Amino acid sequence: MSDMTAKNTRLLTPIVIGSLVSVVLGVYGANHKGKSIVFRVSGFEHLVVVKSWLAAVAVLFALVQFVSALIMYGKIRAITAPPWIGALHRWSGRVAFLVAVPIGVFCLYGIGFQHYDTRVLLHSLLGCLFFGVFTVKMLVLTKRGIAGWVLPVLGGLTFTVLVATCVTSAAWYFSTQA
Amino acid sequence: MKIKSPIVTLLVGVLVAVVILILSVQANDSTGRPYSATIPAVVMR
Repeated sequence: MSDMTAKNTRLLTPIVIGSLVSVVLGVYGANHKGKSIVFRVSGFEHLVVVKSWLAAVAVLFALVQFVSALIMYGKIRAITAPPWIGALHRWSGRVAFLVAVPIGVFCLYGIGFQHYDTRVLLHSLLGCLFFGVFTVKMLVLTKRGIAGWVLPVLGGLTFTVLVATCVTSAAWYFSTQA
Repeated sequence: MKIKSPIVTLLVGVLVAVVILILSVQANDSTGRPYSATIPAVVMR
């Protein structure tokens, strides 16, 4: 087995686990009968409002992670990476993920996997995909000796899927319904 | 054995999801109505 093949093989387990996460979430959402959730916080009585604002917060922290990654990899030459940029990158990612978790629960428990139009279908697919891709990224982070392009690609993919998930939900809600 | 921080992040996420789910289901069962109160309402009580 060549060195490159050995490196790529290390990615197999995280990818399989991440794929399973996405599929299990999708299957749960499709088979679970959604139960509408009511909040008793002024201004946040409706699930869609809560989810939209949480999604906006998640995207904000994801943007911080994206920019901090660009700085870490030297893609923004005007800014020299400060010593705390790694911590900022990690913590912004953790916060974005932990804010996204309740959204996922509310979506899957409160609504379920829906597909009554293209936007909703895309949102359902992207939402399940996000948690799978994020799982892959977290598991790959624990591996040593992986190819240098893997983490930036996974990070970019995670960011893109999260933003696309929010564009098909929160951004749509703020621009058309709010 | 030291657990690596990305794994901790995933586990915390799973824990948060499970807690929200349990609270939602319990609130749903206690009201007997087809909705659940979930965390914000539970915290405010």
